[in-house]
Amino acid sequence: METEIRVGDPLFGTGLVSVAFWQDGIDRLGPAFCSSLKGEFPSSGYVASSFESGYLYRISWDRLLVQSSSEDTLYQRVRAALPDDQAAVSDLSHARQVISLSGPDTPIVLSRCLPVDCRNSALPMGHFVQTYLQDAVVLLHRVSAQEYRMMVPTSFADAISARLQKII
Amino acid sequence: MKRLAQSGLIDRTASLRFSFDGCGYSGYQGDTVASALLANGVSLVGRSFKYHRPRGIYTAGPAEPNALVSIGNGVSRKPNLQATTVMLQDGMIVESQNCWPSLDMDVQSLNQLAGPLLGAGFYYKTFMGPVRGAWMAYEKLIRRAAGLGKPPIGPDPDRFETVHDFCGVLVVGGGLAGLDAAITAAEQGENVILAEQGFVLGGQALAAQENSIERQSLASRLADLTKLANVRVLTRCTVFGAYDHGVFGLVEEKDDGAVLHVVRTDRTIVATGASEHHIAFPGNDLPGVMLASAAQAYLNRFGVLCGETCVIYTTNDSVFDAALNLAQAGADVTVLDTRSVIDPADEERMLIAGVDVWLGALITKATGGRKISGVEAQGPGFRETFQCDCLCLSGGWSPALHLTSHTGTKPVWSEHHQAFLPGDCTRHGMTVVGAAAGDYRPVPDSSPVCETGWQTPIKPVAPIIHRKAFVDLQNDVSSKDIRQAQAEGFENVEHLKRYTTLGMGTDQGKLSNLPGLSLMADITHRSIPEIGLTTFRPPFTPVPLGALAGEDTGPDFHLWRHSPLAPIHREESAVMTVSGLWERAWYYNDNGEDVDTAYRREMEIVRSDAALCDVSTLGKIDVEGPDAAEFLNRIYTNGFKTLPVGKARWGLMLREDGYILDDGTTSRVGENSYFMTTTTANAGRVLSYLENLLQTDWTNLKVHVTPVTDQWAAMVLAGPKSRDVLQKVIGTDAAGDAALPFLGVRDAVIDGKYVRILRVSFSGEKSFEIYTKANDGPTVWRCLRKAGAKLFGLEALGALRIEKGHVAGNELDGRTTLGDLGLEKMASTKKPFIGSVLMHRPGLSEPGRRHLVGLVSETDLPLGTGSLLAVGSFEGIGDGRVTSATWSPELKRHIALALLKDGRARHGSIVTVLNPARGIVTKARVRDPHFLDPEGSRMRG
Repeated sequence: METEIRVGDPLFGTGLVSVAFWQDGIDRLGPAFCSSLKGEFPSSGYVASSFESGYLYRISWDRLLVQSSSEDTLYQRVRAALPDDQAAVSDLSHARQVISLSGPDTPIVLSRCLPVDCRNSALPMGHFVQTYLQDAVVLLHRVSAQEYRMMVPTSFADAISARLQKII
Repeated sequence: MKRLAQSGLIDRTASLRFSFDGCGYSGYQGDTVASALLANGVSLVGRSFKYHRPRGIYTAGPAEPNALVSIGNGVSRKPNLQATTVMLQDGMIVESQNCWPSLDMDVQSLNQLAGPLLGAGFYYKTFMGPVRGAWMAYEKLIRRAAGLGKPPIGPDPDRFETVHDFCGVLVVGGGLAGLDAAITAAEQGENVILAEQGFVLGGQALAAQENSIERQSLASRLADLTKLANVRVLTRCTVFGAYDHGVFGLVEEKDDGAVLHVVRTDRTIVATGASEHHIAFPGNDLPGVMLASAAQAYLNRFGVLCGETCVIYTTNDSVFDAALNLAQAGADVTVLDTRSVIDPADEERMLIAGVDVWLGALITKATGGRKISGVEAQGPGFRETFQCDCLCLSGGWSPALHLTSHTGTKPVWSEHHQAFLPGDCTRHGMTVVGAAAGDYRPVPDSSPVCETGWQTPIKPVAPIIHRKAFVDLQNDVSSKDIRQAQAEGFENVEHLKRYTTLGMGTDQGKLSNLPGLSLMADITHRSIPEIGLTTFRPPFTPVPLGALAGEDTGPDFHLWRHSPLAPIHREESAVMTVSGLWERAWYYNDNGEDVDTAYRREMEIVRSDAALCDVSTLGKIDVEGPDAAEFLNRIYTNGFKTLPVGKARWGLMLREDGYILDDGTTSRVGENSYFMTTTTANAGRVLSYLENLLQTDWTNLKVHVTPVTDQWAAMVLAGPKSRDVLQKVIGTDAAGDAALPFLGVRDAVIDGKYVRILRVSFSGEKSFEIYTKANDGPTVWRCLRKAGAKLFGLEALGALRIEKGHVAGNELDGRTTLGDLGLEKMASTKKPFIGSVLMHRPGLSEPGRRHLVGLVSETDLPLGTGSLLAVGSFEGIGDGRVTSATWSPELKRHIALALLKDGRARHGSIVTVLNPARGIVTKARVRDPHFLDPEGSRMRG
């Protein structure tokens, strides 16, 4: 199949921080926080928004995932912007691995392992979904017409990569 | 039986060779195995399930009860396939089933002589005595005699895949109604999947005569379909189940395996057609008896004339086209109709074609041996014997409403159709069209002849015959069995099914349900809707287990998790093992040692030196927020409010019902930040439990939990010299007792990498848990190794904790309490916590519960995990069981942790230990579970 797989895509970066706001704090504080990162607040749980060095995902009603290529400073930067009376902040920079898939057959490859509708109408460019691949939690982000990025738990990355290679 | 020189949809230029029971035959591209067998004059294809009666081909589709065959050989053999649905392929090896030594001479056909003894429920009545346990003696014999095809032995060479598909409209069934639906939906812009069970589209239209209106309509629809890019056609694809939220299971046959499609759809159009059913009378199962629709299909689709002299026995109008077609093909045709009046137009058509029609007729018996030779019939003013070599039956039609039933939609009885029709399933996004909805018009959008396509209503016939007649051919359920079930009180339709096996098996009663219900209705003087219908459940047709498993088999059964230290383990020659979802270092191979030698050596190192073990698999959770201390105080049995920053505490969680959920260590790493560890096995369960509490019960608490298991590599540095090793890498003061007291927590740097160190012990020795970011794990590990740390693996880790008497997953199995494990003191009396009320309920505190004890073997025999314990003589499952066992280098004996009835009162006594799996019986002395350093001076020192 015409799909290329790259594990640990350096272009996508490895900095990752989970931000969980208290109660309705995400709506009160989220936009300002995203502005401080020079990004747009992702009001939808389906569309990723970008900021200067990465992406912002709203992964639940009270949580954001901040992904950036600046691993060393991201956690400190977010923590500085959000003191612990405003949000819980956890560094996940080593907890996830990014697997990039590109090529015209990528939707077919994905349909063999993920219960996700990759048609344009369901997952347009810029959209993301959260799902499972067996026991592994997966965030799938469509970054261009033929390119998808899977954020997977680091401990599952080797096995998922091998499974994708086998499908191809 | 013969293949006609012309006609049919087979490709006569493509000849295919195949064998049946070793004899070579030929067929054509487009044949099914059944049509090819019939074309070659093979009428006997199988033996019945119970009586081993000779059976032929009864249908031309998925309702086939008789013609079950095995295809292929060796590990590729597939048993119990319906010859009527399998596409013939060149070189195919086909074998009959359920017969010995041959299909012609089957020894077990003698069962027929014992027929009176083999009625409904004979297993339950016959094999329960004369003494208790007698079944165990009968079982082997019965199991050898029972069953149909034999499964292959060995790994399946076929290729199976799973695919997730999505569509706007799923159309089930590729007949005229299904094609219409697919075309209409596609023209409206919908994304359509059209699934057809057969290997070509067309459904019943394929059975119609060439140039008929059905065939013309089919051709035009197929032409329309090819113009539509948004219709995906899947042939050889059965929709076997409808599930919640628009999810459907489809299995698509491939030449070298199958594909399981999990389809999610917005709307579904069910165009599954209808199944013709047979009529029960003596001899209705002889080879040469088949459904009228089947005879028509074999003639018009496959060019096979199933008999030179055909009798058609019917209750309805649907057979007249078949009669005409057979007559036009040269057969001598007689119609016996149970009704006293039929449509004059049909009567005239039959007259012109030279077909005799006998009205008010009733067949009392079919005669013949391995092939039908005639029927005896009677009616108003006549009693006749009709010679024939083919008997075609039509007892009416039942819509294939299985998929609608899967959604929980109750079928509705239609007096006019004499059949159950699908109920309203629009709330499930499902629409039923065509014959599946009771619309039997030949072409769905042609001008209606009448509402159903038939002029004269069906006359039910099944109840009329009172002699033994087969109702369910696959399971050899006769009219006598149904009468007997009723006489014994099994009148309810669900009881009837289970007592007689009516409607079970690969055909799931597609043929037999209605005749069976009709007979029960007659016996009990009730109507068929009062009798009701059993519930249809997935799968609609048998699905290969391989298709359900897909690619998740063998080493790919799970996605295995790897520790961030996995590359290190390869460098260190570790022997890996699977524990839960994780691949872990079992032991480190030193000069080809086996596991027993290795783990004992590693244990001795930990007890005397310093060694490293990878514990990255531990569950890890960030607990953060201003109310985190209050939250932890509620979920742990012991107090956490006063835990200072820089300290760790071991804690136990209970479920609401008072049983232990999990244990672990939680460290306070900041004013509002805690770092929780859980057991490897319960990591996911604990996280879900905490999330559930925060999102439902305690929404007012400002706390968030975030799983960080994969963020950290974790290693244990244990042994009396562990502090010396640590001091070499972080400095004497930083690793000193003042800076890192027992249960102390601090940050440090090892070889430039940030680490978090916890002074806790699982092994009973002085020990440090060292956490670092996952990618930094190998660097930190190598640095500690250079500083003198040796290695120990999972096996030694488990054995060390058994020596220490530390409970783990085996003891925390969801059925033990604090009291059972001797941990009552862990329950705070100063605060409420989850489980604090129900842990005191009588059932959890009364005498006789099983307590945690230690066992020391009195012999040289091991005490295997899972072994049963008895204080006196064994009775039932004994008085307890071994939960964890090992060899103790410290005691030089086999030891174990066990749960023993009133165990704490039995310290010092001897118990019998029985390991039935290994055939070991030995004795062990009961003692305190702490085999080593009960005061804890080693780990605190």
